[in-house]
Order: sequence, then structure tokens, then C-alpha cells
Amino acid sequence: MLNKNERFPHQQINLNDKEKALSVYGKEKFAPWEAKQHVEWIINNFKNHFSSLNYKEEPSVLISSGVDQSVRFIGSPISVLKPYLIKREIPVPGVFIHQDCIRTRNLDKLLDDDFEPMWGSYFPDLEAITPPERIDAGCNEAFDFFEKKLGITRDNILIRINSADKELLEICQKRFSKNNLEVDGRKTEYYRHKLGIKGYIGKNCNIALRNSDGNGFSDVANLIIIENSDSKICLEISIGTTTILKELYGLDHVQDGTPVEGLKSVDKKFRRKFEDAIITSAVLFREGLRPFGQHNRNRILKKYVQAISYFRAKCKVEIDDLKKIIAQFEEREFSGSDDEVTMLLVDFITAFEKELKFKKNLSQNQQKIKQALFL
Amino acid sequence: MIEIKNLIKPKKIKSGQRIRVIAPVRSMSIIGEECKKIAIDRFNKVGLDVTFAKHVDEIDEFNSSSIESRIEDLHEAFADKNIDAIFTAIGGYNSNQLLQYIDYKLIANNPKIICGFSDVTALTNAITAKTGMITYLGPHFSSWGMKLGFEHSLDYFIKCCVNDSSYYVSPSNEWSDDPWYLHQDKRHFIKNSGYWVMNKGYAVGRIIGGHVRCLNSLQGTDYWPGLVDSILVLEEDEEINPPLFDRQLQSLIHQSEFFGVKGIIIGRFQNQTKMTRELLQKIINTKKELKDIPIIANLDIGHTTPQITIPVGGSMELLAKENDINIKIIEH
Repeated sequence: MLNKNERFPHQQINLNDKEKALSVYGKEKFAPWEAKQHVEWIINNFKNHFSSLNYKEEPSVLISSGVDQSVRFIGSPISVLKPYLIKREIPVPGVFIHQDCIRTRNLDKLLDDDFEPMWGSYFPDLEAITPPERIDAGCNEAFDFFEKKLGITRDNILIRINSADKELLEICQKRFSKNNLEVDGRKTEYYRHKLGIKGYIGKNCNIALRNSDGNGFSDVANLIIIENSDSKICLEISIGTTTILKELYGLDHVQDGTPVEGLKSVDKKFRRKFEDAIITSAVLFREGLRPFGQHNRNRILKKYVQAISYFRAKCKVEIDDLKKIIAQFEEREFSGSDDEVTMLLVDFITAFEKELKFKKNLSQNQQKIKQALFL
Repeated sequence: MIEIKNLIKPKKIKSGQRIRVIAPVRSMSIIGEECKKIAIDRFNKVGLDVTFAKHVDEIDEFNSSSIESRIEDLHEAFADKNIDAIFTAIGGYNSNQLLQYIDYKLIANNPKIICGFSDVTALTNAITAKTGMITYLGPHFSSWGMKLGFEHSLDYFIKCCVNDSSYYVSPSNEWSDDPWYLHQDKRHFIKNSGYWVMNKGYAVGRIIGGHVRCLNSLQGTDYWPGLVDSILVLEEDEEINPPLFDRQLQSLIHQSEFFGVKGIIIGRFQNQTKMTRELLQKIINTKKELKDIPIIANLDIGHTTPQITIPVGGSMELLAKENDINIKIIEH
């Protein structure tokens, strides 16, 4: 059995010492206060690209809007675009959207000290859909975005694809050389997509960019053919912003695309989870969601808010310092907005901490937080 | 289970803005001219221009007006971009007649402060339930026409509807339960004995409530604000008495979501109700469901003077210990 690098020789690249300070894309890490403009650069490029192709822009919705009843939060822009798929009325040439998303996959393990998340819960995402007769054109429009708009050279692009998905494979083979294709490198499930619409499935190939250090590739986008038992429904083009930035600029973590300053020196095993809890709580508070009630969305928010208390206790961050950290994040990420939630969020954090002192029948996680805070 | 909608916070009132007086319950024409003049002057003094709804003086045999007129005025007040806040003229008995005719989307799309109390409880809690918008239990337009003893009420209105930051609620120095609207200069103020801790504990929750019978009139309807994770605010008027209050409280306890009530605060009872601290304690002690819920009573909420403003749909933290009582309005 060959190791991964032997099977895919294009995944290796040698950098000299000078080049190591830069990513393989010739870019260096940006400062936290510059992150927003870099995210916006990707978003604006995406919007310009698909607008110029006459795609229609769909307005974004609140992550906690509940427009897609099959999910608690908008975890993918396709949730917003589902009505086009269900009615099978996708305007030609297509529709695109910039949608902020939250995936709560980290939540159950937030208080697990051994768990180090690869992703944050919150991320800005980009998506386009195009009707089935435009699958070939849509795929090439997605590739054009990376090559022409973002200026990523072909040797830094890898398409991960399943040989069973012949249409996608042919489209990719027409555009790329063998060196750009990783065929059947993963298990079949990797190339299959669930949508939350009964009877609909997705067959995907992934676009990966060369890692910033030159070694290996990381997925940054999917091209998904959505179909049901009768026919193809559309091509979905899904593109991550912070995953692209991580490789282009050699960021340490995708969360550095929406950074929280002030936690760099805390224990490494807590840092990213601490940041995640702050980001997710602040984003949802800004949407008007509150940690009250029995509904899943509200309960999930309460878990993130209470996790902040755990991390601040473990990392010995005083409440006033926490306030500054959240305020700085909010000010930078949502500059120009009047509706700041930092003080409110801190009021809730401290109120829930007091509640732990008085409350009987604490859950296991609540007991863990209480111990971290008060013992 | 009632779904708590995402919170919509109306913009705070600023000097130089314009308010609209509507009469969703009884007609403004039952309010005396002197009272109206004092109210308008007081609003003007804090920099607010007062405007009146088209049907505000319309009056029928119930001292109210038609549902159509009241709905038109309510919708117009929310839709008018030149209006920044809405005050109800006075209370009464029938604001729940309006609930099925209200365009809640219009309100959600044009959030603004709406303030009143007593029967307006039904209206405010319904709006909060249907839109997620914070509404305000506080002085009516007519209350602003009180010549003496309005300072504490005004202070707390400003804390709640003008300022942004969280604040603690302290008892007034003195209170009154006289018919001030009949004898503006003959007021009788009583030294405030402070809050009554009925049950000890700590709670943080979402504020729901107001006039108990009006709140209970929403039970089982689409306008019920839900009780999970709530701090219940309860007040009554002079028509109530201890056994009747007990009945209303028991009715709340029978709600399937009552397990979600985290704390209760109770407004000062009017003299005519004959409610005493001992009787209230006895009523509370008979209900096992209240055993572990912090309860504080005798607050400046409701039908006595002064009255603080409470944000329905906002959030509150309360600590009830024998010698350590803290009531903090976190979000308003």
C-alpha cells in the first residue's frame, strides 16, 4: 500500500527558508484587524463573478431565522435556496448567495478538554445553483472563480472526485490534467451529500487548494449534482471563505478568518473552543436569539454561553477582560452597527454563573462548569 | 411548546422625537382636560412632541370605541415613520378584542416602543408573543398627567425606554393609592416599607406578565407568551381580593409550561384589595409548585403610585435573600 504522498505525487512541494515565511501563494498571514477585509475580498469577488454571469443574487437570512425547518440553524446556504429546488424553478443561468452559517458539530465536545476543533461553528459561506442543463457550464464557472478571480494557479488546485460520478469526472478531465485530479482517493461516502429534502441526494466532487506550507491539499469547495430518483435537479456550487483564506495566507486556523483577539496566550487546548463559544454566542445574540426557552436553538445558544464561563475559568480570564475581548471582536466583525451585544452577553454570562450557585439538579456539563468556576 | 421568537428591541426614545397616543381600551375622552394638559406638558419637557390618533376621542356605551377604529389607530401608529413611540391613553377592559385583527408583521417590521399597563397587558404580551418585540408595561399617557408623585415613575421610564444599559430596581421612598385623577393636589403618600421576600432564591429569565387577569385571558390562545424560562411579573387592581388573586395564581400554575417559571415578582396591592403580606405568604405557601421559586412582592408595579416600567420580553435577574435583594433589568 502506497502512502498518500506516493499515491499523489503532486501533493508535495519544496519551499526554501525565505519562502517558508510566506504561503505557497506568496502571501503572509494578515493581522486580526485585517481579517474582515480579506473575507470581504473573497465575498465581493464571488458576487462580482456570478453577477457578471447574470446569476440572480438571493438575499441572505438570519442564521436563526428558521426558514429551513429541517435544521436548527442555517448550516449551509442551500437551506435558503431549497424552495428553488423543491419547485424546480431555478432561473437561468442561476442564483447565488452569500450566507453566514453556523454548524454546531463542536458543541457536544466543547467541554471535552482533549478535543481540538478543526473548524469554528460560525463561518461565512458562498453558494450558487444552476439548472441541470448547465452542469458543465456551472462547474467551469466555479473553476473560473478560483483561477481567474482569485488568481490561484492550476498547480495549486486539486479536484477530489469519484470515478463513479462520470459526468463530473468528464467535466473535470476536460479542464484539468491528471495531476489536478485525485480519483477515488476517499471512501464513497465522501462524495455523497445529504440535503434534508426527502428523496434528494447529492453527488459531489471537492475543490481543494494546496496547503499553505506546500504539503497536501485542503478542501475549500464542493460541486454537487443534486438529483432525485427521476432526474437531476441542479448543480450546487458551495465555497468556503475562511477555508480559502487559511490556505492562501497560511493562517493557523480557519477561525483566524473571523478572529477573536486576546486569547493567543491562553492554554492551547482551550483557545479555539473559547473563541468558538464567543463568536457563536455573539453572532446569535446579535440576531436576537436569547438563551431562553425549550426550543433547540435557544438551548444550544445557552450551551455556548455557559461554555464561555468554563473557558474563562480554565484560562483565568477575568470578566472585565472578557468584556474587552468580546467588545473588540464585535466592533471589528460588525463595525458600523449600533446594536452591540457585548454588555448584554456579559450580563447573561455572569447571571448564568450565579444561577449555577443556586440551581439544583445540574447537568453533567453544568456541574463541570460550576467546578471550574467555584472550586 | 410555545416557540420564543427572536427578540426585537425597539429603538430607545430620544429628545426631539414624536409620540402617538392611541386608545386601544377606553377612550381618551374620559380623561380630564387638566390631566391631559399636564401629560402633554410633561412629555414636552422631556423633549417629546405629542400627537393623537384619529379615533382617540371616539366613545361608545362601554367608554371605548369600535374595534375597527382602535385597530386603524394602532396600525397607523406603527406604520407612520414620523412616530417614534406609542402610549396608550388609559386602561379598561377590552384590548383583547383587538388581538385577532392586529397585523403583527406590520409591527415586527416597524418596531417601536409601545407603553401602557393594566388591561394593556393583553395587548403588550400578545404583541411580544407574536413578534418577539419587547413591549412596555408602564405609565399610560394619562399617568403622565399626574401632578404630584410622578418622579420615581419617570426615573424608571427613562432607565427603561430612554437609556440602554441594564439597571437595578430599587423601591420608591413613598407610595400612594389615592384617586389622584380626582384630586390632583390632595395626595396622601405613605412611607415605603420596601420589598417583601416571599420565597428566597435566585433566577434569571424572560419577563412576561402584568395585570394577572388580563394575562390569564390569553391562556390557551395564540397570543399566550409562554412561560418557559420566565420571570412572571404580576399585578392587580382594586377589583381583586385575596381569594380571587389565589384563583388567578392557581390558574397560572395549572398551565403546562409553569414548570418553566424561574421567578415571580408581584406589584403592590391596592388598599381596597385587603391583601396583606401574611395573606399573600399564606397563598404562596399553599402551592407546592412555588416552593423553589424566588418570589419578591410589594414592588412599585401596577396600580399604585409610583409605577416602574417593565419590559415584557426583556430579561431580568433577581436575587431574593432576607437582607440582600437585587432586581436587575438586564435587557429592555
